[in-house]
Amino acid sequence: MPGDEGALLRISGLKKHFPITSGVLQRTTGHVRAVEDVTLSIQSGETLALVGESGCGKSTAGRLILRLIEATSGSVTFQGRDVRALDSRALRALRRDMQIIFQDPFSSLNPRMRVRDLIAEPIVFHKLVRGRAQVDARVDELMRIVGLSPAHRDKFPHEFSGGQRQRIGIARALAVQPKFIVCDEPISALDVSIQAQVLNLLSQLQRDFGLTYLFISHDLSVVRYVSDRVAVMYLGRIVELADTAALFEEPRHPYTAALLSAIPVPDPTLKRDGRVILSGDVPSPSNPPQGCPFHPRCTYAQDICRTEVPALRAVARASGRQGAVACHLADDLDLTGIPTPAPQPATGGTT
Amino acid sequence: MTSLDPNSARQGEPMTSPPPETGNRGAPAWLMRLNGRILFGGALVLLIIIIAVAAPLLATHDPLRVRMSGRLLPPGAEHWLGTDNNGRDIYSRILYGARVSVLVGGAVVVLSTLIGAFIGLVSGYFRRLDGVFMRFMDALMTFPSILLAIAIVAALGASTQNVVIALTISFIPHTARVVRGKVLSVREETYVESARAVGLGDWLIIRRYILPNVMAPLMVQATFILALAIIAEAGLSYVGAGTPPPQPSWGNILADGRSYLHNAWWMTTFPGLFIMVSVLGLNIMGDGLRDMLDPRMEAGK
Repeated sequence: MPGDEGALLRISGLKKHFPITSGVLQRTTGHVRAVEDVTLSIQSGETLALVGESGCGKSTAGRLILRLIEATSGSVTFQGRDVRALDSRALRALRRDMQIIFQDPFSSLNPRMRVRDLIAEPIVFHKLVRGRAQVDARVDELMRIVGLSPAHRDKFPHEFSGGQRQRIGIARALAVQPKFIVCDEPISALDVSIQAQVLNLLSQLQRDFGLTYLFISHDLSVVRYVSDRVAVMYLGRIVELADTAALFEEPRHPYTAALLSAIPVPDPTLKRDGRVILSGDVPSPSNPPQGCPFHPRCTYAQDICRTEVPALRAVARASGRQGAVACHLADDLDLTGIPTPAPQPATGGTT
Repeated sequence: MTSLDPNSARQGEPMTSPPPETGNRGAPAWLMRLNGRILFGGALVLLIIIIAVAAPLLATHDPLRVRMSGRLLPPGAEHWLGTDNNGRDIYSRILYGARVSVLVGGAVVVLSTLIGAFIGLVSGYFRRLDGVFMRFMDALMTFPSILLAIAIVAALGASTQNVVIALTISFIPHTARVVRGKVLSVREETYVESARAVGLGDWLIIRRYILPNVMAPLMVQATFILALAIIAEAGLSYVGAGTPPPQPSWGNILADGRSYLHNAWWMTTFPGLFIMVSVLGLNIMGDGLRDMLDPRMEAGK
C-alpha cells in the first residue's frame, strides 16, 4: 500500500475470534470470527471510512484498535508504538491520543452524571487541567466548540435531544485533545435532519484540531462525502480499499459493486439498469464459507473462489488509480460504479 | 473530510434549549414523582420510628414492672391495651418493643445492603468471581431465612446482637442476587465502554458508573428487607430464639400471649397489629418506590 511511512496508525493481520461456549461446563464449542484479517494504515489527518453490512466486524475492528476489546492476534501500531503490548499505565496514556465517538447517544452517556461531569471526567482523570475553576472553564470551552450552550452544563443527558447528546459525546472525546478518533456510526442513530449538522461539526473539528478519523459506517452516501479513502469489509475481512472517488466510480470487487448499486438515488424518475441484487444472506461468522468469503453470493464465482482465500493485492484501474482488492478475478471483471454526482442543488422541482 | 455546508456546523438545533420541563417549576423533580403509596407507606413507617424513638416519653408504665395483683386486665383507662400474665402494661411493652424491631430491622438492612451490594457488584462485574460467589449465595439461599437464622442463633446464643448477625447473613444473598442481576445488564451499556475509553479503572467504573445505576433496585430491596427483618425478628422472639425476656419485643409479647389466647385476646392482638401495620407500611412504600424508580414497570401494567 502506498504511503505507509507516514502512517499514524497501522494495523496488520488483526483478528478477533469470540469463543462460543455451551453446556454447564462452558466449554468452547466454536468461534465467532468477527474480525478475520484486517490490514490497513491510516495517514495522519485523513478520514478512512470502514464500511460494510451489520455484523461484518467493522465496529469490533474499531474497538480492537482502541483496545476496548483484546485482539486474538495481529498488530496495532499507533505512532510507532505497539498498542497491544502496552501495560495498563501506558494504555491509560494512550487514551489521551485515541478516542471514540459512539453510535447511540442515548446509551453512551451515563444517565446519572451531569453534562459538566461527563465532559470534565476525562480532563480530571488525566489531570489535564488543575483546579475546579480551570476545569469548569475548559468544560465551557468544549461545550462551545461542539455547539452546546454552557448554560446547560448542570443538566442530565435525558434532558437533551439525540443530536445534542451526540455533541456531548463528541465533547467528551475531544476533552483529552486526541489525535485519532474512531467514529463508530456517529450519525446513524440520529434524525436525518440532525445528521448533516453532526457531520459538519466533525469535519469542522477535523480541520480545527488536525484530527484523524476512522469513520465506521454502513451508509455509503455519507461515507462518500466524509472520507478520503474507503475500506469495504465483508465477514471480517477487507475486500477492497481505495481512494473514495476511485472506489465509487470504479469498484474492483463484486461486493463493492453490489453495495454501490444498493445506494438509493433520490430521483423517482430514474430507471437503473443492471442493478446488482445480491441473493442470500451474509453467512454466519461462526461458520464462514471456504475460500473467498463472498463466493456463495457472488455471480462471478469460479472454482478457485471456492477453495482459496484471495489476498488483498494492489489492482490498477482503467483510469490508472490504485487500490487494493481481495478478489481472484479483479483484473478480469467489468464492474459498474456510480459517477460522481454534480453537487446537488438544494432545489427540487422535477416534473 | 469535506463538508456539506461548513457554515451550518455550529448553527441551528444545538444552541436551542432542551425542551422545558412541564409544569410545577420550583418543586424538585424527585418530590413531584413521589406517589401516594410512598407517602402513605412512608407515613406508617415514620409513625413506627417515632414510637420507637419516643418510647420513654409515650409510655405510661415501666414495661418491666411486674404486678401480680393486676394480671390479665382487659384494656381500660389505666392500662390502655390491658396487662399481660405478669401484670405488665402491654401498651408500654409494645412501645419499647418497637425499639427492638426498628433497631434490629435497621441494623439488618444497613449491614445486609452494604455486604450484599458489595458481593453483587463484584460478582456481577468481575465475571471470574461470579461462579464462586454466587454458588455460595445459592447455598445460603437454599435454607429458608427464618430456619437459617434459628440455626445461627442456636449456635451463637439468643441476644439482640446475634439476631442481627443471623438475619444479616440470611438476607445477604437476596440483596446480592438483585444487585448482581442489575450489574450484569448495566455493565453491557455503552456508557461503561465510554468510561473504559476514557481510561478509568475497574473500581472507578464500579463507583461512578455501575453503583449509581443499580441504586434504584437496591433501595427497593432494602425496604422489603426491612419488612422481612421485622417479621423475622418477631418470629425468632416468638420461638424463643430472639430478644431474650424480660426485654419486650413484639415477638415475645406475642409468645407470652399464646397461652392466654382464649381469655386475654389483647395480649396477642395488639402486638400483632403493630407488626402488621409496620410491615404493611414498608411494603406499600416499597411498591411505590419501585414504580417511581423504574418507570418501565409502570408502563407495563
